[in-house]
Amino acid sequence: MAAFLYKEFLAIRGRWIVGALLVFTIFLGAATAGISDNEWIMILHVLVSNLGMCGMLAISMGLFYQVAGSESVWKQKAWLHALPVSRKTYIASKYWFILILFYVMYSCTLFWYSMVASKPMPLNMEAQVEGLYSLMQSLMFICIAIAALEFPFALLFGRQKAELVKSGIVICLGLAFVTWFFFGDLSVFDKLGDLMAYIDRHPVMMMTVNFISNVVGLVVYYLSYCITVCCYEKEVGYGDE
Amino acid sequence: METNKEKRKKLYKSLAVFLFFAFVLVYVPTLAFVAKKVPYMLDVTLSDGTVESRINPAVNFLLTFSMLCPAIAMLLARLICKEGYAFHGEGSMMLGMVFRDKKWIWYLAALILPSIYTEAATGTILLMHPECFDSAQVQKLGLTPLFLVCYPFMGMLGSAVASVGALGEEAGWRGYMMPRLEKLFGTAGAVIIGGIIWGAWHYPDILLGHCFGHDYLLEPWSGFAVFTLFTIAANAFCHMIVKKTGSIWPAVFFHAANNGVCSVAQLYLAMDRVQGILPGNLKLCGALLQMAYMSILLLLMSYVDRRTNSIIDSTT
Repeated sequence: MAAFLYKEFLAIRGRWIVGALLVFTIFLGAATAGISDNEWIMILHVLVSNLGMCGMLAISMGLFYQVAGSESVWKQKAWLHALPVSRKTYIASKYWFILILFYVMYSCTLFWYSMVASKPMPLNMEAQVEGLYSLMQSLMFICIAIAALEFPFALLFGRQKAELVKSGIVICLGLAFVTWFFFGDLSVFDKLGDLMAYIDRHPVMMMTVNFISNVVGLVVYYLSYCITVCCYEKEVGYGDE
Repeated sequence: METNKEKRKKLYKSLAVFLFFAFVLVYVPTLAFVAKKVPYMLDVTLSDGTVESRINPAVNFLLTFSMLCPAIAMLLARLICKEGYAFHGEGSMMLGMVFRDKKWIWYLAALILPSIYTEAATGTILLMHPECFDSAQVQKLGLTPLFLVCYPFMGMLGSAVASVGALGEEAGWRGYMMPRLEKLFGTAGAVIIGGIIWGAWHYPDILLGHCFGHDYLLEPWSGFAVFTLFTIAANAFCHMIVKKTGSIWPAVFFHAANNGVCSVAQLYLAMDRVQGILPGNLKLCGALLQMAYMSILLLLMSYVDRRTNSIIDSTT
């Protein structure tokens, strides 16, 4: 497992990524130490929160496919058949690696936030900053759930086919949305304001729903692993040795 | 072939290098904060006119950075003493995770235990001082029964996800210091000495007001003593679960869950109704009770584990 994780680390040019994260941390530390203007502190917060969110999305959409699958599934499986490891270990390493990437990105964002937040700010700005970061954890679990849905396709059918399927789904959803936008009932937008007001009035319920959806995301991720292992072994008739 | 004396000398050297960096990186900035009388808490006036006490953001960052210092010290010690950076195996950083052979139970126990002993400690205070029980805060915040059921688990999940600080500490204490102390002083000696070192490392934070605040009985010496007792007990549990799993991750989750525990009982505790010796010393008493319950749970788990192993050994 450790060897597979190290292989993935090298495949995504992990050393460059770690180096870039360290350089950014040093830059952020220097910038935070040198800045005292509230506007610039807000800019740093926006930078950190956007970098955190972009990092999560980059893992979900970019690095995920580099880790998840190769172009040729049969070559991948033939190579794997020659190794003295089980298919389960191989697949588990992919799932674990993606989780580790999310953990590292989230941890870096937390550290950067605490660094920039060490500078005092007016109360109204603090509320805005909290709003910037409040979605970070939820975004991470949404990305984990998306990875859970994409993994079986990428590992079983290869990267190219998985990307085609995903693009197809996104285009279909986009077309459906455009069709509904032009010809459908748009009165639901009038109720959006009521929905936002409801969310504001029931923060406790939203926290509970948020927590339960995070747990569901993790459960979906584990079920995805189980399904992928089952299909992977069934498809080519390879069992654990 | 290295003699035992040379091996011990090497161990002492690596420990000395590690402890030097771990203490200097934390003591220097924290004592500077103490000398400059930087406040631990700041009073913030909200838009509706109420005043709320919040942790000083500069102190919060200092504490976050401090938690990473044992890991930094470990990496420096490994570099200076040429010990390498293996992820698992003998002499490694123990960063692997293994769930086979029922080891997942220890990971679960590490996440759940802090909630159990914290609820038990707060419940004990409420039993001893029933006048402190107040459901007004729960009603004021509109906390539903479903939220109250999920609340401790929110703390566990949030702690596990945001455990980078705990990872920084455990990589140093359990991942580096404890194996070396155990080779030098045996398990019992390592647990006690390691716990004292871990507690002493926190003393500047306690001077700053971390954990116990200010104006408590015999400040700061009682804070030092109580915290050291707590860290000895916690060190015993962390060392046990690290040895059982061969990984520092259960200790990481335990540490993070302890720091980020969400206690339902504390929502019903009205601090302003506390009387007698408790006002100002509530956190000291809470820590002592937590340590007592943690020790009981540790002994119980150790007993159950030994019984299970002896049954397995007798049947195979």
